[in-house]
Amino acid sequence: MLEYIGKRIWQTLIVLFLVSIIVFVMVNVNGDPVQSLLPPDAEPWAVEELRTSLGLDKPLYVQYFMFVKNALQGDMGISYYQQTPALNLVLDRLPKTVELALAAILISIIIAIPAGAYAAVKPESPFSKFIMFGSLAGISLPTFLSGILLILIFAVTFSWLPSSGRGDAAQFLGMKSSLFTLDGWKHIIMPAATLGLYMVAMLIRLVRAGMMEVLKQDYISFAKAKGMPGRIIYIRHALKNTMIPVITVIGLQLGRLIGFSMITETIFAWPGMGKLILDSINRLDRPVIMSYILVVAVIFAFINLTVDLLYYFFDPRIELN
Amino acid sequence: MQKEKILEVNNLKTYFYTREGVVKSVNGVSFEVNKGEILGIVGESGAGKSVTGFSLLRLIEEPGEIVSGEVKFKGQDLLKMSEKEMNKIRGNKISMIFQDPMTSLNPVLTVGRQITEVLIFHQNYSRKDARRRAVELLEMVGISSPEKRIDHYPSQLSGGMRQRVVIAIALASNPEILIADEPTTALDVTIQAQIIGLMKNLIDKFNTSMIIISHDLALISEIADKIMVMYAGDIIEYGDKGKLISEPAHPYTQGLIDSLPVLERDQKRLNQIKGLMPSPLDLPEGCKFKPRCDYAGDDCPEGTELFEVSKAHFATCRKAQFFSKKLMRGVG
Repeated sequence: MLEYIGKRIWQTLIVLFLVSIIVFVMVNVNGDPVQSLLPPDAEPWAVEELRTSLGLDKPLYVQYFMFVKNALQGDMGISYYQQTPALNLVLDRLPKTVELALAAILISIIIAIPAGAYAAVKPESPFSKFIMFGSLAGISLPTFLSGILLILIFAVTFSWLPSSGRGDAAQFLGMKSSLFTLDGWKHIIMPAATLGLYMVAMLIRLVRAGMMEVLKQDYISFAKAKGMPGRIIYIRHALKNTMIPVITVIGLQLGRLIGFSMITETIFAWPGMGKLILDSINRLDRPVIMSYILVVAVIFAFINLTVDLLYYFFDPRIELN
Repeated sequence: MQKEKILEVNNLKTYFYTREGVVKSVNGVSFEVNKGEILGIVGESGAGKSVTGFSLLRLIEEPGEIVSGEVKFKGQDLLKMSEKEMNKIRGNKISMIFQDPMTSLNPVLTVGRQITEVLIFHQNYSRKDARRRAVELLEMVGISSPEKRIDHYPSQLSGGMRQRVVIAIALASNPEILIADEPTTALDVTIQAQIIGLMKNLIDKFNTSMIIISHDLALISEIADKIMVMYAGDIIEYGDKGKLISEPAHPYTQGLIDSLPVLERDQKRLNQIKGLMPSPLDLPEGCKFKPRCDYAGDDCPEGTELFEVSKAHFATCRKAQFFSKKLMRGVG
């Protein structure tokens, strides 16, 4: 077990090293931040001075080693634009994005697993056909459209839910989150639904397909021959076997939701990382962009590790070595 | 002495509605099982023997359907019961053992869980009592250190042990009838004998009736009291084991018996029945064995009705009896 975790952490470090190189090179070939920080008619000496103070006059590999050395100490540089440590800017926003992603996942799981299982157990019923049609629509609708539609219906027409921003946060078990207040949920439900819509649709299809496959297995017939009623067969015998691929996808999607929440956060003015990265890209604020990408890479790596460990819990057949 | 009749099947028909046409897998079979008796169903693949077994517990899945007939268990017709009543029968009064122990246990539930759920659901055991009883059951089917094995997952057990677990599950509620569908086909020959011995012991001990389904006539003739031979959805011969083996009436049954290796005979090759079973979508009229039969002729019986060959011995044809002596001499 420990050896397995150690091996996975080692693999993760290699991935992060590669990511750091790619990020560094990509950010450096993409535009000149000095030009966006100074007015177009700035004096040549002012340009030179800023270049030196940002360390941009040194060769690229020197810049990279400085970057890695500082990064290992948690110093990703100062935001060119806000003049505060870049990593802090990202980490300040991180919990808000994670909160949004978790709410999105929670909503998708609550909807998709029962819906997918139902559609697998009763594939011919009209309700199943409705579920499958809905999931097709969910996969096809782009985020910006579904978000705006939700605002139009629930905020503009009925005025039930606020259209933007984050609600009151409360402290619970040492964590401060808006998920612990009613106002927080009122604010988060629409952005979370928008962000999770694709995932609901995809999970429904995944659960349905997986469950239909499981229901054909001999052990399901055997459970029927044992006289087990439907609820035990579907929930205890079939669903647990269906969950293995589903967990992988949920895990990978959690990373995706955290990493690609920009559109949703922009539509709902959600003060998370996604909005920060969009603004920073516009301003060519390199330290913030790099901090963001590295934070997201770390999150992805960590989630993958967690998923692998969860397999072990759900599938006793998996050997850890 | 009149034995207590526990199961009576009348004119059972199970059809499969496939895209290519209707497959009459079980085409009007009737038989009885008495208390404590072992009925063996023999036939080659596709003869309808497994479908018969599954039909008794109403476990036929789409596109299959039990079209008509009666399955009377202690006088009550199972085919007329609701699903809920039926679940009180399945695994409780009538249990079933599947062919492949590698796939009939759920890989993500412990052995104990799969046994106890039967006890909890059918016998209202508490969790604690069910666990204690499950350990007893595992011990009864010959699994060593059952207290430890009960928390194992199926993947941690060998094929033979898994089939023992399946038997423990099937016998957990002390059923009246055990249906065993090719229970040893997927196992090694050495394990086969152990499993058959175990099943025979246990059902004798509890006076359980058994329906054992197999393509292996040798195995069936070892364990069964009565034998039923199926061919293309029909029963073609049915009777007490002794008579059916020593004086087979139907040419097909005789073919099956002749194809078994015999130690005393100096054989280069085993005898085989020529040809294949006809496609279930394109069955010949009348006797379905006719195209493969050595004795087929104009004097063949018209219908496919069973008639009494001798006491407690029925067949749809008795031609083998007229020719068998000659054939035996020819081979020997």
